[in-house]
Amino acid sequence: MSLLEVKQLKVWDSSTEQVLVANSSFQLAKGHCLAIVGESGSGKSLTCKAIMRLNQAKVQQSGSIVLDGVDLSLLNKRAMRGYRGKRICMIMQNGMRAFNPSRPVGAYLGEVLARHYDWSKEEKLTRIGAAMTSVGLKDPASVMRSYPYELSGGMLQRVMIALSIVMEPDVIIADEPTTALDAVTQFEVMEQLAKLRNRLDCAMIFVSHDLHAVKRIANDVLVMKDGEIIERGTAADFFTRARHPYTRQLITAKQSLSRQFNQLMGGASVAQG
Amino acid sequence: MSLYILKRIGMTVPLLIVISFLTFVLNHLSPMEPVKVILHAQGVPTITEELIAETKAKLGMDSPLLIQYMDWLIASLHFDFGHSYVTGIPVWSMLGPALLHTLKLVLVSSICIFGLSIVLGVICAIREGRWLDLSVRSLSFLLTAMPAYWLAALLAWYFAVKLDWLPTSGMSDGASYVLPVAVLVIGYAGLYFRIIRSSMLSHLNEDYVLYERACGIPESIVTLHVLRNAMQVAITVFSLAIPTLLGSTVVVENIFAWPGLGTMTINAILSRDFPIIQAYVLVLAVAFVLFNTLADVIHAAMNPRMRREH
Ligand SMILES: Nc1ncnc2c1ncn2[C@@H]1O[C@H](COP(=O)(O)OP(=O)(O)OP(=O)(O)O)[C@@H](O)[C@H]1O
Ligand SMILES: [Mg+2]
Repeated sequence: MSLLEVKQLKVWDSSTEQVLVANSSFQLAKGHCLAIVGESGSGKSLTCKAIMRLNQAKVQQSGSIVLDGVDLSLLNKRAMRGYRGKRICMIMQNGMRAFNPSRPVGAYLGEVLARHYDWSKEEKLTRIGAAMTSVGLKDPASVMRSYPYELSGGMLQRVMIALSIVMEPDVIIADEPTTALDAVTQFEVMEQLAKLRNRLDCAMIFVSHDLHAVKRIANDVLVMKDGEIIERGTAADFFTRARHPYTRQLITAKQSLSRQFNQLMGGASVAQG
Repeated sequence: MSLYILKRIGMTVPLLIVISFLTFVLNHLSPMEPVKVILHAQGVPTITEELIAETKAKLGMDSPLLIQYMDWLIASLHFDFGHSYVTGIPVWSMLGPALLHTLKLVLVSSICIFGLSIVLGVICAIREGRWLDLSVRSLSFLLTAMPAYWLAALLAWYFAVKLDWLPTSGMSDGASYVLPVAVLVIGYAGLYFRIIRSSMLSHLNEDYVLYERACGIPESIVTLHVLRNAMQVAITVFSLAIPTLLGSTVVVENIFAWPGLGTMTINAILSRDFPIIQAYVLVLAVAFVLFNTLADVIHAAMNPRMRREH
């Protein structure tokens, strides 16, 4: 049985009547990871935000979003707020911009935890501290005292992952979680995300332009173009038997790029040796 | 941080010296020799060369300009701005009370302006593009476009003459504040609420707001966080608004016969009473410098990066 089921999701801009996501349906089972790929502006982020009902006021949506038998689109604001951060966690693209610049990270985390749990201050500290250590943040106390500008993008990304470890959500939505990072940090953050999914056994929606990362983490893949889902299937099928011309183009572009890259690197090592 | 404040205050010293010198020289730039102005003002019928020399010597005007300036500066530091050419009474005994009256007016007005701007700015930002936002903005556009003297006359005619609810002029009790304050608030709030609104809007589109919402933080608290960040810009503008208000009460004071700086200065200008004009310019300039410094310090205090690094 699927944990999250999105049915006929339509998102449009009420000021221009322009349809941004047309009739999107997909489902996600517990422990599975669904990757959404597609070119820039194809509606990936809008879909993610629509699940949490967090699009701007002028962007409207219809359709049903059923999480564990509850239709989120029918909930009142207060009940919806209870789901956000607790049952559905978001991991943002750019860690440096995801935190309020004028508050220490710890104060913010404390506030979020207080929204969903009535833990004592010490309990909050030990839990978030343990989660931070487990994602490789060595000095949780100093991270919590720091302001966002004092930490790196990768560290802030880990802070978000640590928060979702404490929250133990049903669904994690990661919208291009590694795009703003350098290659090494990208690899480490991907590692943490994969660990997170195994550890919590939660469902994950993973938006990325990085097909390597998709191959690593995803069970299923959705390809979007111009607000529509044009191809769907398991990750294995996606890389071997993609039918849609656009998807094949995407994959061959990727393959020829990495072949060139390998040739370049191989050439360099030959020259060195 | 305290080092930063000291540095910032240190920077104002040369600025104040330049300003005071310019103010002092102002007197000497007028087409008429100051001594003649004094003698004219005192109603001396025939001005002879001896009389001029005698007066100059008496007032220390025959020493070099720089010495005169030093004397004036040191005296000014003791609030001794000389005597009025016209009435002969010390400038400070006229300026002091007038300044106090104007400050009262400015204080009440700025509290109202800032309070109203914050409330309207926040409401319009969270209702962006809806009818409330649109109507507040068009109404304020209409009101700010009206010249202050016209608005003042209109309000005075309606509330003081027709309805007879408020006094037309003077500074007798709380009721006499209503009209002058209303004119100033209408003139300025329209400007400042827009600054708050647009600052709020630019922050509301930031990623951190989305993340706060995605973590289940209620909208009211998100708005407070955004307001706090948006205020960093607004604080600077507000601090500079206070000296601007000090200088721009002239029209309102004259219409409502408010016994403040504006009324005093207009009279001084008309009778070429230079010591008063000089003192007025100096007071305003010092106010500008002080509030500018204050704005920087508050801005630094609100910004965690500045707070840690200085
Ligand atoms: N608030 C909005 N109002 C109107 N149109 C919007 C709004 N947000 C996004 N859009 C439009 O919707 C389309 C899809 O946007 P979306 O952010 O979902 O793209 P994306 O697939 O996430 O792209 P990227 O890979 O660049 O992140 C874009 O064409 C964009 O112009
Ligand atoms: Mg996007």
